[in-house]
Amino acid sequence: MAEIDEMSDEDGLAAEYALGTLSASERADVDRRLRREPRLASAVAYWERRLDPLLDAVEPVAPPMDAFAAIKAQIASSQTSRSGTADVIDLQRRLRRWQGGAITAAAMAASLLLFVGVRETTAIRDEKFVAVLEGDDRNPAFVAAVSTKDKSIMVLRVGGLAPAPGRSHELWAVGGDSPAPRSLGLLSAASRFPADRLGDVDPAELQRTTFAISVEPEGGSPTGQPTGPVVFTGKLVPVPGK
Amino acid sequence: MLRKNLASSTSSSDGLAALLTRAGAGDRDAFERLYARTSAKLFGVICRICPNRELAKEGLQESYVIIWQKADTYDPALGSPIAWMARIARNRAIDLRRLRTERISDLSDPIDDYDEASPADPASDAEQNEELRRLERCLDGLPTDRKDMILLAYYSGWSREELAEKFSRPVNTVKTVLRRSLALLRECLDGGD
Repeated sequence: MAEIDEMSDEDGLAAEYALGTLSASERADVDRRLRREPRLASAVAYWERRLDPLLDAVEPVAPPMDAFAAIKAQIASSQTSRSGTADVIDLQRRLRRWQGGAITAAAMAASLLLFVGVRETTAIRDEKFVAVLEGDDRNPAFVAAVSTKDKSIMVLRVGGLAPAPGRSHELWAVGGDSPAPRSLGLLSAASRFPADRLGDVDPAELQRTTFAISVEPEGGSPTGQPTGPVVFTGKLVPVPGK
Repeated sequence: MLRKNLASSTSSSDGLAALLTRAGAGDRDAFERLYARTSAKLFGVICRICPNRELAKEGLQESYVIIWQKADTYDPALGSPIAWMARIARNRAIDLRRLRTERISDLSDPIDDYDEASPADPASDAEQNEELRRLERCLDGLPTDRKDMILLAYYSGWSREELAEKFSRPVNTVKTVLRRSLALLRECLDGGD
């Protein structure tokens, strides 16, 4: 058949984003670019509007009865006053400010929760915390999730760049009961650490903990304490239980 | 009859836009009514993409939390309220589906068997509007396997990799085919019939 109208790479990317065929990393990349590239954003909007009519043909399916209660609880716990509420509200405000990027960050954080929650059984109580780490430009650079039951810390790079050659990003826990920063490990694009590096993983203490990332010589701080500049920080925020 | 009621209730854009605006201002009652009127449609969209029911429920919950958070950014210029909300749900569902298949496939059961009955034929819906009919005419202008690819991607959230496997083509070929098909679709939609 006549293959006329070839698309530019950017238009093709926008079209495939709207169609839904991109991989997770390509989608995250487009989500990030949408915030600062109006041309790409309008190309995506064009394709979304073009394809919207297809949704008319989707049959409604009655949602689970308890779904709205869970949504309400999630919204309420992030807005009513309880311990740590100010942190959650702050996180929400930041998420709103990031606008398009909020989807990415929220999606990443949610995906981490999905990851740590996969093997969850109902028998053992699980406390989950998330942190969005940002730098001076107020853009999310890393997201972290802690699960007390899985005893794991997951960290994903979502916006920041990899450290310069010869340098490493090192993750620290600050606050809680111990005064000195505790090293949790060196970061890659996606890292997983045992949560016992945080100590006894007491939920009350986690709630007072901030994660910080410093730039260190390759292989990590030689002294056991941060030696380079702290480039990203974020407070741990408890995730309401289901 | 139920379908008709749902269709008519979700199609009264004015009411939904007002509810969305009020939800954006923090009105929880308005948000609850918005949920009551739109959740079945959005859950339908999500269930096609996340065939695992637990994952679909999670997608629905996350979608409405996002809708609550972003309600004050809704812009009527970008489409009807239900289209705007369905896009959020679709994007969230696709993200969850990718995550499930790409990152944690080693930790969990694979996504339930694909529904071989899809691609759904939009023509089976008696309620379809003019825009859908037009889009469908343009889709019918594509070779059948290309139309199927587009519909599987849109309705069921299939990635290039999944399409490549089903249609026994290299991933790069699928990418080329998808983009050419979309270009033809655009030409048909923009250029009249």
